[in-house]
Amino acid sequence: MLETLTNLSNVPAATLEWVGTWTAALLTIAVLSYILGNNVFFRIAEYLFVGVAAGYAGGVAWGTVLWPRLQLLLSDPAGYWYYGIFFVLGLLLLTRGISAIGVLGNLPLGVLFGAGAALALGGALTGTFVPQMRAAVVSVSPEDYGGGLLGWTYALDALLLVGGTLAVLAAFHFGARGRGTLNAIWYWLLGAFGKVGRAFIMVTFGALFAGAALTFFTLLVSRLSFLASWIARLYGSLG
Amino acid sequence: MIVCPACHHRNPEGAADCQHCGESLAQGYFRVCPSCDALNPPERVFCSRCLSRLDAAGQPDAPSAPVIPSRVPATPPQAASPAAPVPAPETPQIEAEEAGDVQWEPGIQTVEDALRSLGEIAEEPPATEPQAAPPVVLEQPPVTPQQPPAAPEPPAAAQQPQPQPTASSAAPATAAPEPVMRQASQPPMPAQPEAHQSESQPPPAMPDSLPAALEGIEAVLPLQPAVFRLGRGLVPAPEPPHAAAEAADAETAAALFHRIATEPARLAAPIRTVIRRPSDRLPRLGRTLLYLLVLLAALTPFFSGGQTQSLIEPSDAVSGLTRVLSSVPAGATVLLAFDYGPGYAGELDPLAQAVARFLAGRSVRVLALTTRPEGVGLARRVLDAAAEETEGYVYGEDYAILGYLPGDEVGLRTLNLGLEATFVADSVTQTPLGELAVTRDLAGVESVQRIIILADDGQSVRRWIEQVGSRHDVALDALVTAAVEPMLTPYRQSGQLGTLVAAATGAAEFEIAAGVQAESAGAADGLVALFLLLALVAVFTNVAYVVRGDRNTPSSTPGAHDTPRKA
Repeated sequence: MLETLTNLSNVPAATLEWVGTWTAALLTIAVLSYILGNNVFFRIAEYLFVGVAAGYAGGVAWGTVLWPRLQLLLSDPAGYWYYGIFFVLGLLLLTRGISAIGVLGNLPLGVLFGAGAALALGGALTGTFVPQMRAAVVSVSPEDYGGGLLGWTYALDALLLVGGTLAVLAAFHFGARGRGTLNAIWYWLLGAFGKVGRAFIMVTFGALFAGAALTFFTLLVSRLSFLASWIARLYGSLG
Repeated sequence: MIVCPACHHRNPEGAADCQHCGESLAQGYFRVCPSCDALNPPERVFCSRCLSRLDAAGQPDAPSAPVIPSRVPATPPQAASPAAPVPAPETPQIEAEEAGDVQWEPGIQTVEDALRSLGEIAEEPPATEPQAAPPVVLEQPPVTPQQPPAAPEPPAAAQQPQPQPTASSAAPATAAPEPVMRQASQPPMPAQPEAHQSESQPPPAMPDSLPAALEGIEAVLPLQPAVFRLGRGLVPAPEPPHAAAEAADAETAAALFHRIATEPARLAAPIRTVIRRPSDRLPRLGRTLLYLLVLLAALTPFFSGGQTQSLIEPSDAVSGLTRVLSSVPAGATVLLAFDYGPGYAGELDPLAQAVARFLAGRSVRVLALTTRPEGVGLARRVLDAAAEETEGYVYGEDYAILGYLPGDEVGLRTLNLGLEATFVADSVTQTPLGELAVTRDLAGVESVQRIIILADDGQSVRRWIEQVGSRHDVALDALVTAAVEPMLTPYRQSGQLGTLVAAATGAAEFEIAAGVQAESAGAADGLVALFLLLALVAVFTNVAYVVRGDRNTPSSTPGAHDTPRKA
């Protein structure tokens, strides 16, 4: 069996391509058969995709991440001793599956979550929050955009940007009405701005939905195109 | 009829113990529901099974609920020893097995209870010829010797009936017992010794001097006929003013509860519920037609032959991408991140192939990496295809696939340490990066001209912006699916992304703008057909909405005006 697998490299490329094309075509039809309802062919394709994806990910992780570093560690332990720490942490992570020593897995989990959360938080602040806040501070004066009709157009665009940002922020304001006239006016302003912000959100959702529809239609065209080429090739081989 | 409280067997009158289970019948009594014949505790106003009123109030024709009294156990009072003083009874008990006679029951503690019981008796039909209502007299309850709870069995001599002082004859020595009303024509029953004695005596008349406990009962006497007329179920016995008010309130509340509990469910105001016949034929037909039209649009590229290519004009974003890629000098390095999976390869692969062909044609070195394991195979397929089409474009010298970079944020941050610290070797030939010509002179991310991110989700692009773009002066371009493009637009407007292109339409536009071989024009025909279809559907549905109107709105729903309004 292993010899057969290792000899796959000796199989002609045309044969492998033929097998791959037929497999992909049949699995595509199996997935598209879901339009007729859930059936055994769709489930087979679904399970195959999940299993193959997991196996492929594991193989890639081993072949391109773990195995090269393990080779370095074994060949030069003094030079690559830090890889040993990572492997030990990885082995400790595997102990999560054993209840008796599962507590040992908390250490690598803590390292993973701690480092990941710290980097994500810091990156969000420096990469998203501050730059986006800075980008939202724009001039709404037409003179700053050269004046004229074009300047007014850019100024209106900037006004929409600023107003839309504030309105969406107001839409996510939830609070009770305070006492006093000023509080009442402030509450009313927030409510009115929030309604405008919800309109902006609806427009955004509409754009997202349109983009998703466009994406899935493109994927459908791609799959149908693949099937058409497969059928044409099959027809050519028969004829 | 005496209903056994244990087995519910109905025993004849006079039975001391249940004929079925032998249980003593001295425990309380039941009220039989006139509607469902269910047995109810005596304090119940409504039947526990059918909620019918047990005394049939408000239903003049309905029979009243009979009360099935239990009998007092015929335990003879134990005579005290002659030397012992006669204790006052705690509860006077008179057994009256003759029909209609009043019994002393455990529940009778007050005059009102006695009046209720009398009312029940008055409802009993006369056994013989009708007679005039016998006068009611008050009789002082008999005084029986107090019986200790666990008294030993008395000797035989002590079981002889002893004369029992009656209320009319002698007042109790210790405590005045509660008075009880008794029909004068019916003497007390001889079940107990004192009854035997009273049987031979004429019915006692109202004594001239009543004990203090009988004071106030005179005010009750004038209500007696009314009490009898109300029946024997729940007789509103005369009570003090405050007690009567409470009883009236309770009665009203009980009646209200009964009405609410038994009335059929109905709304406050009539609402005409219009249930239209399900006419989903048109929507079903419309959906089927829409599916067919979408399928037809998807099949358009197979017979259109790229007719819409002349209609395609590169957008500003695609023109900007073409411009910046054209500015990359030959021999410079561009980093391609294949952060998408096979599920979205149908949309992103054409644009990735077009960009790879364009860069290969300009002899720009390309390094590929991915933060998703599936991206390794996709990167290899795209770059190998570009290398096959470009003469002299060799792996290892002009392009290389670094491989999978795990860890998301952590993995991207390690890129700051250098490529050799991040990738030990390339993923195709497993050659150390220091030995590859394409990576030999690269120190790190800052050494590349541009980073082009091909992604199917916005989070991957944000990671690149936050972990790499914000720390290095390197330009980022994002080629993404149309679904995530709106979410990344703020990053392009803020300048954090050099270009942002949606791959669905960007592939064909880039092929035209960059002048590379057009392979996506066919798909563009399908997109054009889809856009036309969506426009037609939008116009048609809006026209249909205006013409037909929305019949589901409250203002047009028949009967909607019947909806009750708040007062």
